[in-house]
Amino acid sequence: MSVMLIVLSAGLLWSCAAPGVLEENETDGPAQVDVAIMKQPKDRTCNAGKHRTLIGRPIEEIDIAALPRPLRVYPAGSRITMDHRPERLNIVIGPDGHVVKVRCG
Amino acid sequence: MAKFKELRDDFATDRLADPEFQGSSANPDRYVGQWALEALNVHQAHATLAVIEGDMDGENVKPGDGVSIGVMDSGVDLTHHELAGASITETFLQGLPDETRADYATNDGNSHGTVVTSVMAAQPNDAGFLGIAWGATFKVFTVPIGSHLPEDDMRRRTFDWDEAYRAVLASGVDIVNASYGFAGSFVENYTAAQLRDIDRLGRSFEVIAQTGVADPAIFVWIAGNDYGDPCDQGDQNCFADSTSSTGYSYRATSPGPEAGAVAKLSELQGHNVVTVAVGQDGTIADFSNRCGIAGPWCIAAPGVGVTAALFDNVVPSSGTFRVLLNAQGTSVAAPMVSGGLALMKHYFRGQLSNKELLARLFATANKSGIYAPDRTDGSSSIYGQGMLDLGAAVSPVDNAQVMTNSRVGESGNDGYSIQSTQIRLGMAFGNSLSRSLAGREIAAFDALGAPFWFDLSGLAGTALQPSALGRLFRLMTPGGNAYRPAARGTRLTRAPYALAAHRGDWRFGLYESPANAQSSLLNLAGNAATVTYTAQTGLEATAFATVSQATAFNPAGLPRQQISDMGALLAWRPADMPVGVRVGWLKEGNSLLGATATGAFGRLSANNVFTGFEAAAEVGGWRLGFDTEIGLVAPNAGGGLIDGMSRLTTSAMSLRANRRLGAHDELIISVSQPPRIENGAATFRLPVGRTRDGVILRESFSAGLVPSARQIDVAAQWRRTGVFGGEFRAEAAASHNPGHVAVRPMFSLLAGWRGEF
Repeated sequence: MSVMLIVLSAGLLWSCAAPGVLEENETDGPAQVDVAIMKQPKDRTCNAGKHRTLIGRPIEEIDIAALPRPLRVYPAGSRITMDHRPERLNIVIGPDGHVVKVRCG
Repeated sequence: MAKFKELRDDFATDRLADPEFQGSSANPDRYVGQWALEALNVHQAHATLAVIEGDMDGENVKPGDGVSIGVMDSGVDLTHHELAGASITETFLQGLPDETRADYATNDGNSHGTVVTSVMAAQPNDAGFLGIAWGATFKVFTVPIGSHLPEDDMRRRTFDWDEAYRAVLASGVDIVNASYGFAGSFVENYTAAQLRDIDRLGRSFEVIAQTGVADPAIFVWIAGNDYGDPCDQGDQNCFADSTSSTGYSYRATSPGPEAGAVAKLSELQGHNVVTVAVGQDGTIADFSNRCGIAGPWCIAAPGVGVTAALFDNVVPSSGTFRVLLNAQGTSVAAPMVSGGLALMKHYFRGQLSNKELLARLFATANKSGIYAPDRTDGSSSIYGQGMLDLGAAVSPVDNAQVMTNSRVGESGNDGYSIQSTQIRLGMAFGNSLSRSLAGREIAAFDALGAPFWFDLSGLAGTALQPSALGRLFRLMTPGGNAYRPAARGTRLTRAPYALAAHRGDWRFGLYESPANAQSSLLNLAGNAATVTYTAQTGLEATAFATVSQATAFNPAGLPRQQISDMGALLAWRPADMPVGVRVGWLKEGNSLLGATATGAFGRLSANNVFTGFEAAAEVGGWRLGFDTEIGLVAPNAGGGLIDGMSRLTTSAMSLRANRRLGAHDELIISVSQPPRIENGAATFRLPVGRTRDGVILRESFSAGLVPSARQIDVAAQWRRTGVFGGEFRAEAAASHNPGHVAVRPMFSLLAGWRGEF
């Protein structure tokens, strides 16, 4: 059995990573021939402004599971991947473990 | 060259038109549907590889074959169907986890390294898409740049990047793809000293510089994706922007500090390149950092809507799944450059140093229109060296030259254009050279010192056959019906002229062949000025010279006239005896048995001596004539790729039977073998490539000059005089092994009328 996955939702660039935006269709096609058709987002932001209240809080106190996906958490000044995903929320942690920046990308 | 380009372009066009290579939205297969590959002329580069390697189906050439690309990234999904069959290894540096493990939960749920690797490595299977250099070897090294949980991110704090770079380089890779960087900081804001202080970057730069390494690996970096992103007041390059969620956004006018360090640290220059991303319209992607001060070491490549493979392990609940996606970011532009470099390295057979490859990538980039330089250092502030063009990167810059010097790039290294380098063979050679040179190549070098290989047999091919018009002229030549050779020309003396104790005739001819036998080497002399003395004893002496235009020019700019061929013939043909003999000498000034050379092949000339035997008889109303000739050739091949040539021997013969049919008709039947080389060989010394430090490699070999078969012509000729006051001639001929090549017989029918007024 194989699975054909088709993304129907607009507004996501790498949308296959986000729960709830995929619909599964079972097909009789060859195994592992999964295709996702992506659509360009109109709103290229991740609503970072809504989450700026996280700035200054210790990362341990933040309920990561409650934050929207896609999500990236990384220490300030570290190397990160350069895939451009405006819909992805980035939480940047300072050396003391507190959130220093919230951004999209 | 034209032939090569024709082949390459036809192949590329066919490939684009082939339904197998056309994609749909669900199956963006191969080039069509992959705008990025088309924009980079990858189809042309792949076609070039296929043509050069003689794989006209394009099924066996693996673009990037033999080249090793290091991919420093988050990891790779080795079981993704798009990568099935690719040569990929994965090394988990410093204990980093496998992000594509089925039970490994991430908070982002995708493998960035799979995306990046697939842009280069996606295999030509029936579905999906095609990687730019799918035949290369990929060595993926995990580094902590992914989207792991916070506890995993602690690994970032302890990860030793110097050691990581050292490990990657120790693996022997040719190219390192680094699709990561620092967000929100820009190289233009740092001094060289400050750059070295960032997160111990100085130690990394020491490793990346590869000081003392003869041919350092190329690092391909990303410029960054910060342009237009919201920022906070006081951040680097942060300007007021009412459309931003923070009221400010980045003006990312240069790459990040690690990627852009090449602009400040000279030890990184020459083997480090930064990549900016462009969209489908060819303009800079709105998110992409610009090249800025890194312009001379920066290039643009597609970074929007790039088809790639993705591994994701959190959606849906059923577990892992593998998909295709249209990715964007400088992350996917960098592997276009890395893969492009691999293609080039493959194409140039590893003979260009990595620094030369990169310099060539820059030099052949599209610098027109919006990509035109606008900085004093000759680069574009946005696009650096311009838009990557792989079709141009594997095409000669200016004319490819066959070099006579020992190194590329030496002063006075003019060489000879490959287009002008040819040998046109005479008939006696048949297919000897095309057979001896089959499968051999000659290397010519373009203006940047890059080697291009050409099929040698294409430059010195099969001998040309006489045209139908030429054979018709021979058929209609006045006279020519003698069953035995006879002197020709205009008699100068009215009566037998006394010369010493003999009596004889002087004859003088202009623009006529000195040959008086069908099978004589003298036929090579063409139309000459001749002087012949014929004694009544049957002794005949001829001297001749042919004047032609030389390739050189005189000071007035007019072609210089020179004597090209000259020679002499001494024959004894007593009228009362059925036999005759002849000896002769022919000096060919610009040819060798009719073969001429141009360009790098130098100049051919020859001294031919020959001896012939003639016989005639009358049997039952038929007049029979037999003529054979053996030649000995002392060739001279000077100033070119032909290093030497042995003495050649030649043979020729003809047998004729004439019969008169009434007052006006004559039938002539003939069997003949045109001149053929029976023994001999040439030694070639050819440029076949170069070393990475520019020394031109040469190879010597011997090429036999004996054709593979023997041409025998059988002809029946009918002549009728008194037709409209002139003569009608018709000939039916069959040629066995035409051109001394074992091919199907050639038949011809010729007819003509000749009148004299």
